Amino acid sequence: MQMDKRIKFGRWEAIMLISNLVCTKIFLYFNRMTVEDAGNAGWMMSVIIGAVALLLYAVLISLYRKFEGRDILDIAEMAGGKVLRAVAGFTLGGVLFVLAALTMRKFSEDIKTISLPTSPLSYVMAFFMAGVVIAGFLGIESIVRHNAIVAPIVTAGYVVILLGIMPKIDITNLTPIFGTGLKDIFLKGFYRTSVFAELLVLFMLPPFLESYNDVRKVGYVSIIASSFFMVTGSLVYILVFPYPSSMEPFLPVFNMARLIGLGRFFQRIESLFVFIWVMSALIYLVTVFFFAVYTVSKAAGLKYLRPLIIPFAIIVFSGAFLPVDLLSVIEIERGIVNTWGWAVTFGFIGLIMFAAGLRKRGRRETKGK
Amino acid sequence: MSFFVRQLKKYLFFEEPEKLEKFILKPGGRSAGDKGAQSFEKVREKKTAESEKPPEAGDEVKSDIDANLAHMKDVYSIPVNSDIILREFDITYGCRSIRAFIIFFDGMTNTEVINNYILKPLMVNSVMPLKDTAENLEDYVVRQLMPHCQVKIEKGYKKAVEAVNFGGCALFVDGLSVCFAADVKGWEHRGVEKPNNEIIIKGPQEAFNEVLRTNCAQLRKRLKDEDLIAEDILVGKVSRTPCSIVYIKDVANESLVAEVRRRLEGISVDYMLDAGALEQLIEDSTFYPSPQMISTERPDYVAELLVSGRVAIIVDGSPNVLVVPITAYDLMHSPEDNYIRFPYVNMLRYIRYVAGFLALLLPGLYVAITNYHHEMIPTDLLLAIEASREKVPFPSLVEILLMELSFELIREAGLRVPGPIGPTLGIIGALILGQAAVAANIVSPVLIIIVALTGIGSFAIPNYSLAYSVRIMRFAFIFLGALAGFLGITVGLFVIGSWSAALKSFGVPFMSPFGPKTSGKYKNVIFRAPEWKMEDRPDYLNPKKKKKQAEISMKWKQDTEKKKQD
Repeated sequence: MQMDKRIKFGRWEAIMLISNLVCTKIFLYFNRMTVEDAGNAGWMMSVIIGAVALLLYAVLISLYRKFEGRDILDIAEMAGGKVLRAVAGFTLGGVLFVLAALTMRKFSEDIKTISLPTSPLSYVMAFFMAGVVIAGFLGIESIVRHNAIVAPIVTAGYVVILLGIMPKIDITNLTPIFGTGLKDIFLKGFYRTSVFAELLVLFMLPPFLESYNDVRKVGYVSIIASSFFMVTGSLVYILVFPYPSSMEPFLPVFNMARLIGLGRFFQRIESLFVFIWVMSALIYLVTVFFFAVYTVSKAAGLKYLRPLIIPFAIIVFSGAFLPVDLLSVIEIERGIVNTWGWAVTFGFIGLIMFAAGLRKRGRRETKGK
Repeated sequence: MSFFVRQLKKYLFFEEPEKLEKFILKPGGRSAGDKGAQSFEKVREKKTAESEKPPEAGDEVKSDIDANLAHMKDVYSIPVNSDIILREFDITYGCRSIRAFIIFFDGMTNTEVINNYILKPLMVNSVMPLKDTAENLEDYVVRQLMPHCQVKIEKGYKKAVEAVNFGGCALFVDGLSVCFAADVKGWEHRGVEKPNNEIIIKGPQEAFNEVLRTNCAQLRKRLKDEDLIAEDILVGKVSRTPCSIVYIKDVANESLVAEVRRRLEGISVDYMLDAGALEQLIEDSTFYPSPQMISTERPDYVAELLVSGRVAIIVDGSPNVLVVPITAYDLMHSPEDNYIRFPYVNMLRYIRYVAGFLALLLPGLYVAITNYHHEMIPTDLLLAIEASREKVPFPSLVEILLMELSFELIREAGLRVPGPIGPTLGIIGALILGQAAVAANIVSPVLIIIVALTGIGSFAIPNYSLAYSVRIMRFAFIFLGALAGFLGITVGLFVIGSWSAALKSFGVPFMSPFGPKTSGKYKNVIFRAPEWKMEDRPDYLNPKKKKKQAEISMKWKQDTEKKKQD
């Protein structure tokens, strides 16, 4: 498939895309991670994560102002020619591939634990992969539009879970109010901005958006919306599960859903949660996977990306099996992705933009002389 | 088999994609991008030029009557062809007697009209001394001897033959290198009757029939607007089926009309017998399960859709009219939605969505829950289900497939047997089969409830074609539920959702206005706003006129309030 230059989509679609990419981790382990990092002040850490992400994004977007309509690969080319373009493309594409493989493994392991305990992991993963490959073939328009429809439904399902769990809330769980201390809240809050690593997809979107203003607004709204759901999620989690038992559930939102009971008849509605969970995961996986393929194909200067879908899907599928078990996946995610992800999204991209800006100014000055 | 190999190859090996022209519905209603090449005025000029175009070499009507006679006999295989009538006679012009003949099909024409308004004036009135105002014989025939409302002067045989084939009568006169084609259609046809398939309680009770012009008139009767255009196109090399593209000139997007015209003109088949066949030849995706256009037998519904900026296609010989473009949500609307009050229509729409959900997913969910998610079922219900399934030897998948297939069998058989027996067969078949299957412990009673609910759900879907697609997809969801429980069903929903999001119906994204989100207000998408709130036409249609009614459509209310204040 050749990327059609006429493909454009609106702000709403882009906001839904980025927000879902960031928020999907709420369904996995995000809430537990905040508790592990900052105790029952995990929700405060989420606030800090959001605030730092906003701040870093403000810097990035001000650097981006001069490059309206260009994506990060075009900017890299401006900064360091075709070599930097390829380096940037393969780095960012690689990061997205790692994210896709890790998330697929996590979701598959979790689904296996919850619903399909007797099925082999590869069988569960094959379902995810099938969805990703088919949607990948259908192209970016389909992914973005489907996202715009599914993301609000997933959000509604998540809100229902939060509302359903309200009777179990105990306000005293919030104390001690600063959890494990201010140092943890702020320091870990800084590098846990890595949960916004998927924001790098936003810098591949500009050719599909109308203007700089659109890119700017999409970023801000997505960060604010995602932060809101992260904060409410971790807050409700802490209010329901007292510290330190809140460090035990390995699927926090699922465990919250398990506690919901509506009268004597509806006691076990958590299985319904599988629907929104899998839907959110599929949307996440296909978006990350597609942009990974897109980034690599663009970096390599390929005209069509469709032929890459199946080979890359096999790579992701195989890559997902590399970690020995679920704990290893979580360890990689906690220790590497969620600790250093900010360096790619905000650091690497920021550096490219900064260098391109300098180069542009240098050229202008030379021209002036 | 080769088809599957080809498809597999397509996904495994790279082929340079064909550069197919992608249609984009241009904003603003006018076709701005192509500098007006498809604009209404251009099309009008083109049609005028076409009608004035001289016949091709060799096709010209000769001035020698014997040559014309021989040609027409040759064209219509006279005397082998027994229903073609060729009548020779003489016309008196001045003091001369001139040879002439008419040719028409028996049974397709109104012989009374031919006798009284063509033959009689030509044979009898020409003898009478008429005021000689005509300049020549051609004028004399048209202006004084043919008191018929629809007469065309044709210079070529092809046009004359076309007219005769479509229920006309061609008159050839010796010495004239033109012929006269009179429209004297008079074939037997059904009258305007009640709709058979789209029955509603409130609202008009008239349906389309098989006659193109009657169907056009049905629309004109409802939309008394000179801007309502019915543009004719012949489809089918042999059948030469007349089709009409109907739209409101100052509302419908010109690029949309041009695209409909382009697709119809681009059909190369021998026979086009019905709107159902045409639908398959102009739709965007063949393999997508749901219909991508509305096929309706109700003129009132088509009129409503035309007002919103859509385009209708009427096919001669078909009682169904196609309307494009549509979105997925339009398929859940019923014509009755326009005629019943706002609270009722919303309740009905809600019920229809529930029905759609049940028809599509209930059997799959049953299989998924009984196989993978037992914990979801409350204990009391679980015990009841298990007790009822205790003696059933089959797994739930086999059980449900058995009953679903039986249900489809009954439905299909009910349609094929003669009229009054059909419903009886359905009821008796379902009752006896269900009861006997439970008594024989082949299926559980819970399953009968599931299958019955699914069946009722599919009947509540207002669009006939959509109900078909739901029936097909239901089986896919049963298998997905059996393969991986809720995971399988969700993946199925995701795939069908992605496919729908990728699809377009004549340039309009199938899932709009939600995916992509359009700027228009959602007043008649899932639910319907009160009639006085429906000011806007759907934004995704890019119509020429955005507003359908005034912001304050109930002016009397404003006046009453003013009077009160005074």
